[in-house]
This record gives sequence, C-alpha cells and structure tokens, in this order.
Amino acid sequence: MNYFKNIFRLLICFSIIYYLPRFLIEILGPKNPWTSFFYMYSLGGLVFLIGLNIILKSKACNLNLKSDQIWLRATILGFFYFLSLHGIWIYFSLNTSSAL
Amino acid sequence: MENIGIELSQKSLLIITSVVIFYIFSVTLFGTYFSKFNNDLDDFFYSGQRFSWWLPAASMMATGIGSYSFLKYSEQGYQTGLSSSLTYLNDWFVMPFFIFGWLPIIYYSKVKSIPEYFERRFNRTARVISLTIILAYMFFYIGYNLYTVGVATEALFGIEQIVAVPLIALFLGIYVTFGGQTAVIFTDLFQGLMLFIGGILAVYLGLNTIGGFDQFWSYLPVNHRLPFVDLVENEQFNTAGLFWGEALAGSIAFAFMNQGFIMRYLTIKNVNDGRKAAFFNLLITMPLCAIIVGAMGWIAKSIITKQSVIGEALVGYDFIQIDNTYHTFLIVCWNVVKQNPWIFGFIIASLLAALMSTIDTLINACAAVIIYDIYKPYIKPEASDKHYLKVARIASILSTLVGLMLVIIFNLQEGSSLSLMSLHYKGIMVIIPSIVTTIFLGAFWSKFHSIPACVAMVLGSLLTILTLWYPEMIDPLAWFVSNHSGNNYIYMRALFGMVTTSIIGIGLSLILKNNDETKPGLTVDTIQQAKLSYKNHLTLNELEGAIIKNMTIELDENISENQIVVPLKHMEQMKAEDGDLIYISDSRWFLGGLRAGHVKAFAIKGNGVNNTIRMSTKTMNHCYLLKHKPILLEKIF
Repeated sequence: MNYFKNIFRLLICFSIIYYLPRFLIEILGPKNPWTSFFYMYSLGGLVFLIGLNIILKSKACNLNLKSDQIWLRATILGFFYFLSLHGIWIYFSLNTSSAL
Repeated sequence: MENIGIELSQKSLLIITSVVIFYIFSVTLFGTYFSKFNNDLDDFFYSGQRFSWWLPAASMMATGIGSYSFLKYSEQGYQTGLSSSLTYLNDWFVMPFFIFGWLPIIYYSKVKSIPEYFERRFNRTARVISLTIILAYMFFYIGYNLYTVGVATEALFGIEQIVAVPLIALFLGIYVTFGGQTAVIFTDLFQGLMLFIGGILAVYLGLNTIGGFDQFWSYLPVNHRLPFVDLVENEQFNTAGLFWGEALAGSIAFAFMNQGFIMRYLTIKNVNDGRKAAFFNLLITMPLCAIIVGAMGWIAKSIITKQSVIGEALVGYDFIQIDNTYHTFLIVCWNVVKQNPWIFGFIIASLLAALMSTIDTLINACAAVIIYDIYKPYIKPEASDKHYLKVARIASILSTLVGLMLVIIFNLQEGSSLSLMSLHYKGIMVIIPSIVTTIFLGAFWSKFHSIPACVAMVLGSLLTILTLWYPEMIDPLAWFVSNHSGNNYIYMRALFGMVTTSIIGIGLSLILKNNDETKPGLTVDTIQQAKLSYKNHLTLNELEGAIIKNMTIELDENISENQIVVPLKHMEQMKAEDGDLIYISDSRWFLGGLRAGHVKAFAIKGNGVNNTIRMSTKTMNHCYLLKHKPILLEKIF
C-alpha cells in the first residue's frame, strides 16, 4: 500500500514540475518577472514542504519540545519572509518612476 | 600592464601597497596569537565545540565572501542587475532539512568530516570516493579565490599572477598553519568587520557619486532592478537553471558538504546555538553579503546609463567606462573614491580580507580532511596528538600549494566568453551533484545502503562529466523542467547529475539486498539515539531549565576530569540530574565561549557552598577557565 502511495506522490511531484513552467509561460509570458517568482517559490515551496514532512514524520522535529516548536515556526516564517521580500521587490521595481 | 581604466601614479601605488601590506602583516600576527588556544587536534580543527553562536556566525560572513565574490558579483550585477543577489537569497528551501536533520546528525554523531560520515553511514569505499570529490571541491575553491585575487593584483599593480599569487598564499599559509581553527574564526571575525566596513563605504561613496539612492534607482533600467532574471532566456544565468543548480544543488553543497562551514557549526556549544547561527547567516548575513559584493556592479550600470543620458561624465568625476567586465569592481571603486589612494587602499585591503578569510577556512578544512580521512586511518593510526598537529600543519601547506597550481588552469580559461560567475559555476556544477545527492539520500532515507551509494556516486559523477562533451544529454531533462533546451548548460548540469545519481541510487537500493549493519544516529529518524551516544548516557533529560550565572570555582583534585560538582539548588534551577551534560563558560559574553567547555555535572551531597562549583585543575585548564573569573552554567541535556 505504501509503495503505491509513494508512486502516487512522485507522480504528483513530476506533474507539478512538468506543468508549472508551461502553465506560467502560457498565463504570464516567458519574460514576465512574476513567472520567475512563481516558478521559484512554487517549486521551492514544494521542496520546503517535503522537508517539513520528512522532519515531522521522522520526529527529527519533536513537537513535544518547546524549543523545536519555536524553531519550526521560525523556519516557516523565514520562508514567507523571503517570499514577501522578493514579491515586494518586484512590485516596487515595476511601479516606481524611471528617468529612462 | 593591461589598461583597465585606472591610471595609478607612483605615489598612489606606493600608498595602496603600504596599506595592503600593513593589513596583511596585522592579520598574520593577530591570527598566530591564537595558536595558544590549541591543546590538541580537536582544538586545532574544531575549537572544542565551545563557542557561542554569534562568534562562528559572524565569522561565517567573512567565509561566505571570497575575493572572487567582489569581482564576480560586481560583474554579474553590472550585466544583469540586482538579480545577482539571487544566489545569496535562495537557500531557505533546504532549511528544514538542515536545521532539523543534517545539523543534529553531524553534531551529535561527532563526525569530523563528511568522508568520515560516509564511512560510518556506508563503508570505507564510500569514504574514499567522497574524499576525492570533496577535495576536488575545496581545491577548486582555493584555486578560484587565488585566481581572482591574481586578476585584481595584476590589473592594479601590474604584478604578474605568477609572482603575486604565491606571495599572498605564503602569508595565508603562515597563520592558518600555526593558528588553526581558533585563529581562523577570530581573524575571520576581524576580517568580516573589515570587509563589511570596506564594502559599505564603497556602496555609500558609489551612491553619493550618482546623487543618492533616488538617482541610482531612477537611472537603473527596469530589468536591472528586478530580483530575478528571465525564466530561461539567458543560457548562462536564468531562473530555472538557478533554481535547480544553485538553490537546490548549490545550497545543499554549501550547507551540507562545505567542510569549512561544517567545521564552523561543530565549534558551537550546542545544536540550538547552531540553529541560531544558521538563521543569522541566512536572514542577516546573506542579504548583507549580496549587497556588499554586488552593489558596485549595480551602481556601475546606473552611472553609465546616466552618463549616456546626459552625454558627459558626472560632475566632479572622470568618465567611467568598463571594457573588461572582470574589473567592474576595481574601476568603479577607484572612481567613486575620487581616486583617493588611502580609501582605495582600504577597500582593496577589504578585498584581501575576503580572500584571506575564505581561503584560511578552506585550507584548514582541507588539512582536517587530510588528517582525519587519509593520514589517521590509513598512514599512521596510533600517533600522538602532537604528531598529528605537526602533520596538520604540513597538510595546510600542501593544500595551499595545490590551490596555487590550479590557478594555472583558471588562467588558461581567460579570453573565453565566460563571466567570472559562469567560470565558477561551470566547475562547481560538475563536481557537486553526485555527492550532494548521496549525502541527502544517506541522511534522509534509511533504506539507502552502501553498494548503491558507491555505484551512484561514481556513475553519477562520470555521467555528469560526460555532459561537458555531450551537452545534448541534458536536453530532455532541461525541456521537462523548464520547457526549454539549449547548448551552454551550466546550472542544469547539476540537475542532470542529481537526477542520474538518484535514479541509480534509489533503483539499486530497491533491487539489491541491504547487508549493511544498522547504524543508529546517522539518519534523520535516529537522531534521539545520536543524542544518547553524544551524552554517553542511557537517558536524556530534555527539560528546559535556567542558565546559572556568576558561579565561582573551587579546586578539588578528587573530582574526575571533565566532571564538576554543583550545589543541589543550582542543579534544580537548571532542571539537571546527576550525569547530565553541562556547558560551562567564562561569564564574560564578549569572549564568545573562548574560555568554555562541556562537562558532566553531579549534585553536591550534603551542604554545598552557594554559588561555588568544584572541579579539578585539569578540568579548569581543559576548558581554559580562569579561577577568579565568574562562571556560567547551562544544561545541554
């Protein structure tokens, strides 16, 4: 049963990796900075989620320990910190005046 | 001498040279002072796992910025804008794996080097294969650093690389050889500060030249303002390639197998402090580094655009023109400091600080690998620490010499159309994929065993090397992940290597019978066992207690070495039990744990004297504690 579950999960990951760039290029165009942004953070988010799943399932992150709870929260916040940083950066790059 | 856009008078040249030589001598003296904190081999390489998080974290900044960083990122920043910062800002995706998985594994299993991990997790063959790849990786970095500093000195002073590079390497060799890891950390702390001040000064003067941040921003073309480049268009620098090659393979290599960084984490007093260092590194240090090393390129683009708009040089400055982009940093710096040789000399010294602080770490790391993975297991297993220390120093010299020889290879690449960034990653992306994949599978998949690991590393590496001659092998994969294929793959080569290594490794693990013994503590699902083995005890006490400050030492020679006796009241405050592992340190925070160590604590039976702990002279000396200075106690577990 586990074997089929894993195959199914792999197929989902491969589908995301395959369809994501095609979908983004189709919707936003290849030169749009948001295409790169969504590519990076969608696939990066997938890797990040796989990481969280592994450390929680293996008990490497022990939620019974207060310190591990804090580190886990901080790790998740860190992801959104970089995501917001890059998102705001693109927004201001495109929406501030230029002398050119 | 090549004309790079800088005309130095004899007087300027003399001042710049004096500032630089003064700097090199000062650092060499500063570094050799710390040789007195090396009691044994562990101190020489790992500083006895005693430092507070901020000390290695601050020194990591200097390690993360090499001399190549200033030249390479300024060039990239000039060519593609603020997206040059991406390689510093895309490491977070692998953070859960690192801080909850890899960091506790290496810390608690007391692995001295990655090849040692390979032997303990797999077998001796895996150790030899990984050793070969890791040495190639570190020698590559030493050579590349020396090459870029050669590029700078040749352009500035007209001294040929064949003379300048060995001379600088000689000074580097001296303090690493004698000072060891403590010297590396403390000089790096100083040099980190130095290159931070130098870098910020250059950025401030650059912004001042163009008329402030508003002017800089408004003359920067919109595509140069963005944090990302196009998804696939530029074959040498595109987001899809950067994600697979840099954010994944590069980040794993940097965090998981860079012996220099691993050694920094192993100097820290406990895993939680290691996590603090990792957070500080990624949230503060990396973004700062991205600005310091890339900003000269961004400013160069803005200045040159403004010059072309107004049709003349900026008021009060010479006309800036960049013909050879390798020299972007030097040209812009020289002009924005209004050709002041004292300030320019200071900035060049910070460039050297970057070189020295990266190479010293790498040389020390190479020596550690040579001692722990070649000399001790294969050549002389039963020698004294004094003997190993002597050999470690010879190994430091040998590592420097190998790096020097690699400079010749980089020299042969000059004149190709590759930027410094591409030259760097073209090499790294061939070396790292098979080993990062094997480390990753080894740490996070317990069914991965030794035969598949060895076969996957060898075949994965060979297939990746083969793509240098047959890049079309990468086409299907590149097309699958980015809807695009090309000819000049740099980053996608790493993805190819990782995928082939994974397929071989996972495939063989599922097919072949696993005859390996169970090895607790070396995979993510056995970290609790690693903790028990680290404590050398049957139970773990993970209750979180208070930190006890202002304790005094009373000597008692009846107490065994590395044990202390603590009043019951303080044991209760720490929520500690007999035999628990305690971090004991000089209370003065600014020492960062230089005078500290790990001991086992036992409660005083009967009435103890309040605020006094008892230990033997040997324990006190082993932890470099001073009898009359207040002591701090913190329970580990």
